[in-house]
Amino acid sequence: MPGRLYIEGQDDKELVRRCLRGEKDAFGPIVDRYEKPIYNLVFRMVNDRDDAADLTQTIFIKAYEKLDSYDERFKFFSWLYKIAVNTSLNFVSRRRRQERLHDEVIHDGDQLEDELDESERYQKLEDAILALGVDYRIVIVLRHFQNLSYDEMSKILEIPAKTVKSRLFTARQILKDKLVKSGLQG
Amino acid sequence: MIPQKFIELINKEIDGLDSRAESRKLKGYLAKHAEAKRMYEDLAKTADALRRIEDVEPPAYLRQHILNSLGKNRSEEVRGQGLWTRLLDALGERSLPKYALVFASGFAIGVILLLIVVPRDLGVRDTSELTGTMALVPELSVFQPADSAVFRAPEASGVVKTYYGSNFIIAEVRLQSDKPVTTQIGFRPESMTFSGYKRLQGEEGSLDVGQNTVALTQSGANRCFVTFLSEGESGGPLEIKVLGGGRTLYQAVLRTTGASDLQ
Repeated sequence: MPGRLYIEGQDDKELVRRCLRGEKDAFGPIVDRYEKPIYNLVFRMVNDRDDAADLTQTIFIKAYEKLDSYDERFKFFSWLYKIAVNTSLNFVSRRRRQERLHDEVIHDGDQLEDELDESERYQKLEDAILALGVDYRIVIVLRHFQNLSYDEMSKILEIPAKTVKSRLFTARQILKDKLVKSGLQG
Repeated sequence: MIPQKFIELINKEIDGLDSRAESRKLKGYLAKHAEAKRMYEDLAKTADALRRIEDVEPPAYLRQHILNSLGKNRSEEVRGQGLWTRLLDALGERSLPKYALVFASGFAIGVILLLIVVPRDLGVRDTSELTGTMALVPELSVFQPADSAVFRAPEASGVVKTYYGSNFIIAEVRLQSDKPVTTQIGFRPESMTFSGYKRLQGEEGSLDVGQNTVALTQSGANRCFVTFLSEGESGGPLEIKVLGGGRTLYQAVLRTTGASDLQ
């Protein structure tokens, strides 16, 4: 996996076993390894640093509490990401009312691409991602920010790989339209 | 009209997940079909824009907060939090009648005990004496966010957020100040009852609970939760005042539900 953020930990399972034996310190390396990718995943979903920090904390504590339900036949990161995705989606669905406001953030722009400075570009791109529906946003986040494969996304989202591909394609089309509309993409 | 199999190949090419043979096949097709070529180029540009977004760094305190939130012993942690987690699950994420019944029963018992045990006039207390019902930050996400206010004054800055669930209202107060500052939370006693307080960060301060106000006096960097029991989901707004140096530094009225309750 070409992980942009994620570095597969070979001893994840051993760390989990140690936690289950009561060695709380063994959870530290797990947090070290996954704190940043999980925080980034959540931040891309909720677009608020404080909320992302709170949710990241929630995710790790849920994971810690439920470690005995982790099945070693599967990759630990898939199991952790599933918790992260579900927690983020639950949060976003409760905040949907506020999200609708963000749809208005994307507005018609007539500026040429080269007139936009970097921060404007970044903001428009962030806004465009945020304006995607959650089903589309999550596949963009998992694919482009977490570099997960179609199969990994399928397992985490509990949808067929075919659906992952189709959502990803639609998400990119919508995103492309939004970027064109905002003047970011010609 | 672009055949589905080439749309799939376009996506795989953009994701770098295709084989050499698939890549050659796609390029051959794109060379002959302008519409498909345009689609490929557009989507590739979009993907390229996404690649330019940089990762964000988690706050420096986060790792320690996570580790501090774990119980001393995993099994104790799970035993201690199980009931709370299950109640919250029933409250926020599950609608099965049996869970609702479990929650309603537990809640009713809790309210009765509260009425018996808690004196009417709580007066000034050391916060260490109190054990709040909202004991776990991690489970905050099961509540609905209602409102928030950010304030910056020379003496203090911070954020106050409100959340709600069925029969619960939570005010989260994050404050940074060099000198003691009082955060006063006004509530409607006819529809809300002070339930608990939980300090998550910062030094001990004092808590003064009156008939219709809760006042926290603290200094330094603080984060805490104040919980209320409400009649249904709507307990009315909370009136927030931040007082310091003998004056009001900030005041705001925050909703405690998704809909406006500022009548």
